[in-house]
Amino acid sequence: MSNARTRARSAALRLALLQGVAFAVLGLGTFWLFYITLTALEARGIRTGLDFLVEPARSKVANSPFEFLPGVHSNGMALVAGALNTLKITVVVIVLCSVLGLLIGLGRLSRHALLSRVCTALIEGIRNVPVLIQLSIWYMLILSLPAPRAAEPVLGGTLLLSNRGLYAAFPGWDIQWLWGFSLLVLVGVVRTLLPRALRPSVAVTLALAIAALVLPWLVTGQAPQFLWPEKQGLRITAGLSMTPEFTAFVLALSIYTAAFVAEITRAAILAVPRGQIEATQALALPAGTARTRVVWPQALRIALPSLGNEYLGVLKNSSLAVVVGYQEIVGVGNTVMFDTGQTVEVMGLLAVWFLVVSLVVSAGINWLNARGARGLVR
Amino acid sequence: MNRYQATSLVAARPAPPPDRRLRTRARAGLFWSPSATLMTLGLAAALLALIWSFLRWALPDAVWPEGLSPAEASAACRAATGACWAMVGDKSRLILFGVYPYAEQWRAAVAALLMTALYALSLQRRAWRPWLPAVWIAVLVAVVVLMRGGVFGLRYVPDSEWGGLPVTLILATFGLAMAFPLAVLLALARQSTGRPIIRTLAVVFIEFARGVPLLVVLFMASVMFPLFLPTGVEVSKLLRVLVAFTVFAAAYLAEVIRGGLQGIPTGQTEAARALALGYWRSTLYVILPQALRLVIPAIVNVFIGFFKATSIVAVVGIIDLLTSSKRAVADPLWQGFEFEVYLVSGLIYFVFCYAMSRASQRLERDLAHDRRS
Repeated sequence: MSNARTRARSAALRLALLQGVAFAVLGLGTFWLFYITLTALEARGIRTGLDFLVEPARSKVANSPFEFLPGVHSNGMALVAGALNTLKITVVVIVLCSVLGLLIGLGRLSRHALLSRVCTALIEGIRNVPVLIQLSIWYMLILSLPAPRAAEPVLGGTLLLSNRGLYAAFPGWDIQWLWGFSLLVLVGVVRTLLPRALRPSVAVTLALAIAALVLPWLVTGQAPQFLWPEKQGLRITAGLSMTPEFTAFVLALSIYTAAFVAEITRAAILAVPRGQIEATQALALPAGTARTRVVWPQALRIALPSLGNEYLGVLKNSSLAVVVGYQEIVGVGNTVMFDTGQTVEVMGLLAVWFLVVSLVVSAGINWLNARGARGLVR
Repeated sequence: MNRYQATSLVAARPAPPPDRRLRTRARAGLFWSPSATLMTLGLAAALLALIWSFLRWALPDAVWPEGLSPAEASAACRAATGACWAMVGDKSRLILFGVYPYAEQWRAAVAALLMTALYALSLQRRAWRPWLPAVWIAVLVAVVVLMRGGVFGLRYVPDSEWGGLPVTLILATFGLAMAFPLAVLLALARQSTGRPIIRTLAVVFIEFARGVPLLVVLFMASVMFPLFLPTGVEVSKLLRVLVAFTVFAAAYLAEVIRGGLQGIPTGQTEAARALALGYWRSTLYVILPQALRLVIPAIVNVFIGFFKATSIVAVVGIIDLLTSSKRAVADPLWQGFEFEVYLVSGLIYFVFCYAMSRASQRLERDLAHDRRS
């Protein structure tokens, strides 16, 4: 008995010792790093601290979301511009890759043999080639489009393609659209809030939605404006314009990620227990209703954790935009680093930014997951 | 007698064989309804048009590298409407091996072949024996000797002159090989109970590395790493990037291995304890062999991810396959033929990644089969 106790005590002692040693090594290592770094910085005449953030920036920010003036705006503002660009790319890519991935994934599951083969080939071709090569190809293709003067209108003039960017028709920001969209959102919110028995059918909702968009037009007597892409001399004006860098990057990353989303979609749908589908057949539910009301909601819950990982991947991969010169936060950070020489601080800021955003996104996914898991049939 | 009652047992009959005739299968998969027929015809037409125009571009309309001088070939390419394979022929050495000294490029080729053979070997289940790690170490040493030279009468080639496919393979292979032991330790540390400090350190490290883009880690390695070293110590750029890769890969691998550790029933640990095995011995002889076997397909998938991710190193100035391809079309003679070169380098990446992913799927199936039986 006492033998066992001594042995347990010596094991505990060894453990404590091991931990103590690990801690000490880490502490000394950190101290050494700090010491070495500080001497290195001093030797090179690089100052330390975060003062550079409020000092005026020396270089401009390409593709800044607001007008960025070097010398007027600070380095900190440059980083903010970069951060906004990161978020912009991430959100756009997440939306696009989800839609595209869903379509490709469902296509692969289709009963149609040719469609399913084509989707499989697409997935394998896309996900086995590095995204940077795909990005290079898209960028090259966009740059080989005609100059703005000779830009080709596509899809009945809603889209103008040129080597200076993509120009699309978009609602103008006027009061009719504002009212219309507000009413539209109202219809949607009211519909979800109503108890299920009182909910209007899809057709009625659609009619209401159209009415919501048309009503402000009828009341004010003015047609809502659409800003069509138009050539004006050497430039093009449009409701929505995208630079070649942004377009190429969004296309490349969305398509690349869509291949993975498609596989997640497929795996999730196949993971819905077979009994669920048999049960819908036993209840004589129409196949469409069975899909939208039974299979897909459960598949979504199964897919959510993997989708979340994929979305976090999009956030991190957005840094690859540096390659085509679209300045998101890593690109801006790189510039600021070369302007000020304060590598350690800039790198630290970048790391903190990505960690914080990742944590926020994964907290959101966990919350959704916890909500969804309650109804999951296992 | 009730004539509706069976008087003898009816023997079970096998199910009728599925109708495998092409006609029935085509009807079931392609033409079962008017809309399906419409889709088949539309898709087939689009596919045929696409394949036809690609083949015409790639084969009859293309300019092939046959006995033309680069200047003539360039002019011919600019006049032709098809692909410019003459450029790929002219620059093939640059694309594959970067700026590695021309006369010594057989060494880079042998190194690349060695690493490819290593992948092929490691994906065979028969090779999962205790000698496999030794083979890895031997191949890695051989690769370094071949690439670097300076011994056995081989000319010394500094790693700033390495480039192309061997560099891509080296980054992926060495990165993974060096990350693996670290990842095992990290996973064990994260799983360990009763060692809160070590556990926390592992968690912080893993979450940090997984939360930050690879590009940021690479920038850190290329600009911050020199600051961390005592003055006078120089580490080459390739080695710095390799260290960054290792650290980054270790975090991802650690999470995969942790998944494997979690998949081992507690009974195994308890059985090992009952046999009076200590922590290290039970981990080394009982838990890890089972856990690793469980996650090998997932490890291959991580490896594929890193294989593709090596193309990022172009940003910090390492000449990998993608960078050397871009250099090939930077030549004024060949400017404007980017598509061909991206197609070729993309195809090389594809062959490696697709082969590995197929092998990983096969392993996954086999291992699942083993577990069931």
